[in-house]
Formats: sequence, C-alpha cells, structure tokens
Amino acid sequence: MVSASGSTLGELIESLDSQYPGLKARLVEGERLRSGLAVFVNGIQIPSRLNARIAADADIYFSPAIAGG
Amino acid sequence: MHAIQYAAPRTLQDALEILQEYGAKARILAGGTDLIVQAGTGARSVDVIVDGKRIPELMHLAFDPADGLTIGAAVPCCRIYEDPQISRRYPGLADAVSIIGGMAIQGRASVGGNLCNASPAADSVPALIAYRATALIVGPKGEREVPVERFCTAPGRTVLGEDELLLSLHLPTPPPRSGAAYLRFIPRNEMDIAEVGVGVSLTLDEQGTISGARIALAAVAPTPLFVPEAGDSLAGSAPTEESFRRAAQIARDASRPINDIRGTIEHRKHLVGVLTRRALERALERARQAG
Amino acid sequence: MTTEKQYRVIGTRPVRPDGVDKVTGRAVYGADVTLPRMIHGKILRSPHAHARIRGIDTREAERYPGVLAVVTAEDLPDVDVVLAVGEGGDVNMRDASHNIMASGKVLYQGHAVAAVAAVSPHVALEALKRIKVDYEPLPPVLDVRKAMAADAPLLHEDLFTDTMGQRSEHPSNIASHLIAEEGDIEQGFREASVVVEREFVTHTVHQGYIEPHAAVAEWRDDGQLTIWCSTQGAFSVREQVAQILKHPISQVKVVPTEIGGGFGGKISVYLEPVAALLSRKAGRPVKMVMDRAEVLAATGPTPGTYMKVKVGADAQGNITAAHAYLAFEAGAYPGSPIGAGCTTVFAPYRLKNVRIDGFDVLVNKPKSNAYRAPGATQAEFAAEVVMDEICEKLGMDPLEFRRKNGAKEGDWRPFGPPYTRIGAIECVEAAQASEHWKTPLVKEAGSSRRRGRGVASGYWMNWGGTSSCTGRLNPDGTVALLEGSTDIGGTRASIAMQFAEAFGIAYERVRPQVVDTDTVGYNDVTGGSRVTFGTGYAAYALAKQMQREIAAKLAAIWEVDPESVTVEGDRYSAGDKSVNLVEAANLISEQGQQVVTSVTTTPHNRSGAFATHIVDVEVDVETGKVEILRYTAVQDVGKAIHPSYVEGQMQGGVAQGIGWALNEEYIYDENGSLRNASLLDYRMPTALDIPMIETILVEVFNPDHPYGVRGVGEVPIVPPPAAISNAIYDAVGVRMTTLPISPARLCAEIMAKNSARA
Repeated sequence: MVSASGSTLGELIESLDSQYPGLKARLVEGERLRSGLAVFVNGIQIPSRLNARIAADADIYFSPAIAGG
Repeated sequence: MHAIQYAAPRTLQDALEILQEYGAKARILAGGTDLIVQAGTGARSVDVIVDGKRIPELMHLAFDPADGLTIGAAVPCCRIYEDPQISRRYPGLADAVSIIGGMAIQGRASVGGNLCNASPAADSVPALIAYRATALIVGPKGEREVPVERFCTAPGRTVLGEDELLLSLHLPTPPPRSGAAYLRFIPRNEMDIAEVGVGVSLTLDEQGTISGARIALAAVAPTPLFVPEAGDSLAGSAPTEESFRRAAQIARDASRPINDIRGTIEHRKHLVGVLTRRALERALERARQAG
Repeated sequence: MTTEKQYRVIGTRPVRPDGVDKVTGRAVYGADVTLPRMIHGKILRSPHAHARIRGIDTREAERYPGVLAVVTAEDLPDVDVVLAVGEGGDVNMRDASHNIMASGKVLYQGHAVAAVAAVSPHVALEALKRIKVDYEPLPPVLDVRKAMAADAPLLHEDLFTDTMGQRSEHPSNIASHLIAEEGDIEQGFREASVVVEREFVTHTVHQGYIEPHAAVAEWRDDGQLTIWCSTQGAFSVREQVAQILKHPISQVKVVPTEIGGGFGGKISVYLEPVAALLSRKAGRPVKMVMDRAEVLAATGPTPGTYMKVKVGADAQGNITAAHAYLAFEAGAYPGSPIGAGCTTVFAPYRLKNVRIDGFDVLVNKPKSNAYRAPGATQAEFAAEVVMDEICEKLGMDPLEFRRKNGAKEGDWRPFGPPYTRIGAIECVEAAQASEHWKTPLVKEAGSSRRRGRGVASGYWMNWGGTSSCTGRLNPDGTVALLEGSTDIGGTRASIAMQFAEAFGIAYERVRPQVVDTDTVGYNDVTGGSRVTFGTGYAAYALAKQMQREIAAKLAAIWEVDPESVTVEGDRYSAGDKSVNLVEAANLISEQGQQVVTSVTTTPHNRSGAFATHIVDVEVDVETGKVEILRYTAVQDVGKAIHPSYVEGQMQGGVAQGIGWALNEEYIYDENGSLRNASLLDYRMPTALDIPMIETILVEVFNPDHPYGVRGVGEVPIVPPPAAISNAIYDAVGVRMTTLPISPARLCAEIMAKNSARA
C-alpha cells in the first residue's frame, strides 16, 4: 500500500512513477493502460482509461484482469 | 464418396454366397454395435454389410440338459440373461452379457458378434472359454468346430476364412457342483471397456475338493487369454484362500498387458490377481449353491 | 445483513419457460438450424502437435464434385487487436484468428488448417482428404515444466515473458509471471510450528458440454452477415467475428440458439468466422457442426498444471504464512486462467504473510479456455489438500480450522480491493451444523473396503458486467421480456422472476425470450456466474422504469402530477383514481400509446461466492476404485431466486468436480496426439457414478444487488477434487496430489504404502 497524488488515473501513475521509477512502464503501454489490467477505485472496477477521474482519498488497486466461465 | 451396401439374406446359403462374392469386403452384422461404429470411423473398411439377424440359424437359442447350450451367432445378449433357465445354468455367461453396454445395446449386441469382433477386451469371451465353449463355423466346404480360446488370433482377427461365418456357439452343460463367474474392472460404474476381465469356472467333487477349473482373461494380451495352468493348479486342491491366491498369481504371471488409455501394465497385472481371486470366490459360492 | 424481506415470487419454484420445448425436442439448438440452399462445411485438422506449414495445395479439393468453397488462413485478414471478452479477460484477436485457422505453424494436434464447404457433409469430408499439406514436423513440448525450461522448443519465437509489466530479455514459452505479495512470508514461516509443502500435478480436462459446437452463417451479397450459433454470448460472437474478419460490426447479426451446455467453452469462436468466409465464397448459407473428437481435440479445455503450495501454522492453528507457485498450461496461445488461480488459491483464508507466483505457460495443446470457475479448481485443490495436512499435523478439526482462519469483510485478497461482505465463515458453520457432518462414518466396510470423510472450501468471484433488457407491456397486462443473455442454467426463469417481483405481477404473466443482437441492447456473455445477478439487476431496473413510464402515461390521462401516482404491487393510484395493470394497459393502448422500455445496466459486483463441501468415500483398497457414498455442498448463494435451479447448479458443479477428481483427463502420446478424444475414454461420470448430492443454501445478502443475489454457477466445481483427496487420505492414509485420482494412480500409492510398511 503506497500513497500517490493525482486527479486522474494518468496523473496518479505519473506520481507513482516519480516515487518508483519504472512503474509507469509496467502499467502503461503507449497512451493506454496495458491490456489485461483492471483498476479498482474504492472497491469498484472503473473503465481502464488514463483520463478516468479519481476522487480524493480513494483506495486504488491495479489488478490483472480475470476471466470467468 | 464411399458407399456401403446392405444385404439382409434370409438363408444361410444366401449369406455364404454374398461372402464368396465379396470376400473380406463383406462383414456379417450380428448386432452392429461394433461394426457400424468401425465402418463409420473408417476403422474397418466395409463394402457390404450382411445382416445376420434374419437368418434363422443365427438367431437360434436353445438349452437341453443333455446337449448343453446353443447360441446362434446373432442372438442378442438380452435373450440370454432373460431366459431364467439359461441364466441359472450359466451364471458366468449371464454376468458377462448383462454388463455389455446398456439395455439398448444388449437388445442388439450378440455374443457371436462380440467373439468375431475379436477385441482383447471382449467381456463375453473369457466366460465362454471358462464354459469350454466351441465355435461352429460354416463355409463353402462345410462346417468345422474350433474351441473359443483358439478363435481369436490377433486384435480384430480370427480364424474365420473370408468365405466363412460363425454359425453358433456351443457350451456343454456344466457338471454338478460347478460354478462360474465373470468379473471386470472399469474405472467408472458404466460406459467403459474392461481394463481387465476375468472369467472362471470350477467344479467340486463330492468331498468339496476342486476337481477342475478354467480361468480366462480379458484385456491383458492381444487376444482373450486362456490360462490353463492357473485352473489346473486348483485341481485336487481344497478351495481355500491360499489355493485361490496361488491360481491368481499364476494368472497374473501369465498376463502380458500393455500401457494404453485404459490402463497401465502394473495396474492391469495387479487387477488380474485381485479379480481372479474374487471371481473364484464367487464361482465357489455358486458351485456350493448348485449343490 | 438486512432484514429478511417477504417476497411473492422470489424463492418459489415455478416451471421454467423453456422446459416444455426442451423435453419435447422442439427447442432449436445450434445444429438444428436449416436454411434454404444451405451447404455444409468441414475442417481439415493437423495430425501434428507442432509443425511448420510449408505449403497447402487445395486445388484437387476445389475441383472435387460438389465442393463450393475452400478456405485457408490466406483468406483471413491480418488482425492486431486486443479485445476484452468476458469478465475483463482480454483476447488477442491475432491469436484468436490463428487459432481458428493455423497460419505458418500448427501448434497442436487438431489445429485447423483448411476448410471446405460442399453440398453435403460427406462430400466435404471426402474433399478434405484431397487437400495436401506439406508439414515440417517440429519437436512438441507437452509438459508445463518442460515448456518452462530455457532450452525448450519455442511455440512462438516472438513471445517474451511479461513479469508484472516487465519484458524478459529472451523469448520464452512463459507468457507471463504474476506475483502477489503481502506481509513477510519468511517471518511467517519462522513463526510456524507446522509447515507443510507439497507438489501437485493436474491434467487437462474438458468442460464436456453435451452439445458440440455448431454454427450456420449466411453472407449476403450486400455484406450483411447473419450467424446462428450455440454460444454463451451472441454479442461477443458478433465482436469477435467482426474483428477477425475485419467486417463492420453493424453488418454482423448473431442469433443465439438454445445451448446444450457451455461452462466457459462456448465464449471463444471457432466455427463462426470460418463458416462466414465459406459462405462469402460459396454465396450460400454454410452450416458447420463439430463431431465429438473435434470438440475434445480442438476447442478450449482447461489447463493442466504443476503447482507447489507451502503453508505454515502456529500451534493454536492460526495460519502464519502461505506460498503458492502455480504454473498453468495456456495451450498454444497465451491466456490460461492463471490470474484467477492466483486470486482464488488461498481465498477462503485470512492471510497476513503470503506470496503467490503464477505462470502462464505455452505448450503444444489446444488453447485453453474458461471452464466453470476457471483456474480455481486446480489452485484450490492444491491449497485445500495442504490445509488438510496442516490440520492433521495439528490434530485439529478441519472445519474448525477453516472457521478460525476464515476470510471476512475487510480482509486482504490478492490483486484486489479487500473483501466486502462475504459468507466464507457462514458456510463453514453451516457445514459444521449439517446432519452429514454430525453423522459418524463407519470406516471399515468389508475386508477390502475403507471409508473416509473429507472437506474442502472454495471461492469464486462474482462479475457484474453489462446487461440490457427490453420490456413490452401487452394490452392484457402481460409483459414480453426480451433478453440477450443466453439461458444455460435456467436464467429465463430467474430473470423473469426478478422482473415479476419488482413489477408486481405473477411470474406466469412475464414471457421471457432470448433474442438476437439486433433486437436487444448489449449483453456481456453468460459467464462469471453473472446472469441471475447482472441481467436480473437489469430486469429489476427495467421493471422500475416501466412502472415510472406507466405512471407518467396515467398521469397524463388523468391530468394529474406524475409524482402523485403511487404504485403498489400492480395497482396504480392517484387521488380517487386507481387502476390495476390490466386496466392501465388498456387505458394506455386506447390512447394509441405503448409502453416499450429498454434499460442497460452495469452494476458493480464486488462480492464473491464461497462454498464448503463434505464428502464420504469408499475405497476398494485392492483396485484403487473410489465410490462417492455421500456428498453435501454448502454454499453462500446470497439469495436463491429459484432454489431448485440454484441446487441444480450446485449439484451440476459437484458432478463435474467429481469427474475431474476421479477420472477425467486428456491422455496424450509422446508426439502430442490426443489418445482419448471420445466420451468412451474421456471418462466423465455417469449417473451411476454420482450419489444424490445434498445441498445447503446459505443466504448472506449481497449489498450490490437489490435482492442480495450472488452468482452461484461456478464455485460448486471448486471444492470436490480436494474434498475427495482429503476423504481418500482419511480412508486409506495416502495423500493424492495428482488429478485425476484414477484407480491406477491410487492403487499404485496404496501398494507403495503397503510395501513400505512391510
């Protein structure tokens, strides 16, 4: 669990990358979030877009996407 | 496209004439539960299917205490186990024919077809061998008789000539104080081909000593396997756990299974021992009940 | 938990709308579709598990009388798109395209290399024999551990390992390495007073749906493509076909037929794009139906695995650390359910120190696909057998251990936000209180038979997804309910029941229908245990929306403020005016108006379903054969809309789990040829192999659904293999760590134990 700032998912990832250099490369591919990644904000999955807005004090999880049968 | 002809002769003579004309490309349908599948998948190349179900001699089933049991080659399994006298006199055969497929299959499939298909895993063949059955073969040169244990020569191959057909099977009347059983092992409780099958018969003398026994195995050799030395080892012995274990060990040593999708060499050899002993125990119970 | 509500419809057991058609043979399944001028397509499949295709000569087949079209990979466009299908699972459409028609290399025995359409299926089969494929055989790799070795033959020279977003230096058969970590496992294992570590192997198994894949495609001259098929998701088929063929999605219409089982295996397309191409070439509708051997050899089974699980616990029975190493066989292209394996492996437990490593590994087997709780059955088999051994070493009751360590709201879980309200502990407690658990088992059963009892828990996450429904109020007050979710497990009934409950009418007055992609809004696939939850949610929202529209129309007729119209059951009132729904429908249609309403919803479903199972087995110690004597499945179902169908889902899942535990496996020879591609030798359980499965429904309200529904379809397949392995240990004292626990495998272990003792 780490803290980072930003009002969008993209800004958040930039902030994380400044704390943990190289992290952005693992999460972002070109202008998009890597395929196969799911993002949860306060327990709820949001569309995986870098411009998705993030509320203040949100808990965010990056998770591999999982398929069901 | 490959087309298949179907013939339904009403007489033995007509059937033999078709066999003479087409030779190996003609096959007798004695139920079709193997043949139709094999023709459909291309496992057996067939040009003419000769339906044996309309030939009276092939559909003949009769028991007479003096002559024993005659089973026409196309008689379906259900007629055997549904006949109270036959299933009482030949419980080892009834064991086998009542576990070949489900009820629908048993209404079509025949013991003769099971034998001519020559699968090493055929359920009815070890039981036939245990009962000293002989096969009556007919061809253009007349009839000949072959003991069932010598009928199959390789997987899918038999002693039948291209122009011959199996007419019937003959099982002598079991002697007094005799019993028989067929047991098979399958991983499920239904819908499987035997991983191992064991057919046994044994006869007691008036003192309760074993006077003779026969043991035959399924699915542990290229053909159904008669193991005379296993049965012979019991002659003159008391029917004890020890004598049964000895016979089971001989049967196990005689088996020569392969690894395939239905079982491993180790498990099959082990099962021959277990099932031989269990089948002997069941046959003994029946011999004692037969009195 | 919210207070127990009284329902009129929910919780009852009405007859399913599709029942009569199904039992009388009138229902139309994939292979039943017949169109005028229709011809038949068949696929040529690779005999090699791994080979380069040097050339394909189709000329003789094209000239064969009765042949109207032949296609190969040359006829497919190049695609490079990643498409999200089902539950956030992504599919690389280039791989999907190559999987339905091999390009350059064949990667498994059964891989499609060409297809023919002809006037009859027999002519098509004859023509296939006349296609000459020049193969350069390559060494196959069939085992996950061998495929991971540095010197293993590579399936794809351009595939690199992705380790949490970082690419490997060299190409590899390992497509990805996932890592989930929490706390400090080294410290956790130091705190443990017992530690158990075991290795596990499971083999490839198939979903075993009874209906083979079938599709009919009609490509008209104007480019309009219509596909009839048996699928879990008509909209997903539409998207996949549009992507693979680079055809506008607006020109693809998919008509879902009835479906004879899917279990995850009828999400990916196999036949549909090929039938479409053949139809375009031939100018006639083309039907394609797989035979059973094709289904087994060339669709998407669930992976074989190699797993290693290590768990430590202190003397009081608290888990102190857990580590799982999970390597799953993806098959020919990346995409095993390794993520779900990692998420579920330890899911029923509260863990402080944990590490999970998951590997997605390519082998020369068909591309694996989803199978009912994909990845969970394998992973939790390993974990639950280790937990049983921990209990044995601690001398602790296995249910008490699971209660004590049970996960609950707020606890950590791999990759995801913490658990919301879940029923893991409630399931364990219900199992403890069950008559089965309280009834002692007599262990001796004759000279060669021993009995044993085992338990295991399991977890599967729930998915919400997007669902749409359209409702049409008929003049008689009944409702035509149009859905886009293929009905596999009785969902027409469960959705109509939720609609009827919310709309205030009787279940019998709702007529649910599953319709094509042009007739209803978008629906995600029937998968992820989501339809009764997600499409039920849409039906609830639809009912409320229709009530508002009816109220608004009545307000206009009555000339009152719409806000003043109240709805009570099927009665609409405002002031002294009051009508029931039939009267309202009449009033509205007299005005020349109609109520036709559509909704689309994407509810969050943060929850999941837990289960705890108890099984009694009897082992024939001389043959290794296992008989299931008694089975009880306990599951948190949230709220059982139609309890019979919930029980049916639980029983069906257990039946499949028993098959997986005891006999089901793909048997390959050393060349990678599948040896048991038939239902005779791919041994699913028969009716004689399974006892009546008792069910206990635990209802812990799911706050993400108006009726508290949880997805119930998948989790019941998860616990059986571990529960059965644990019961076998109880019976005969051998730990079975390989699936299936076939008689040969169990017999060998029993004999080894006996000879070690002797």
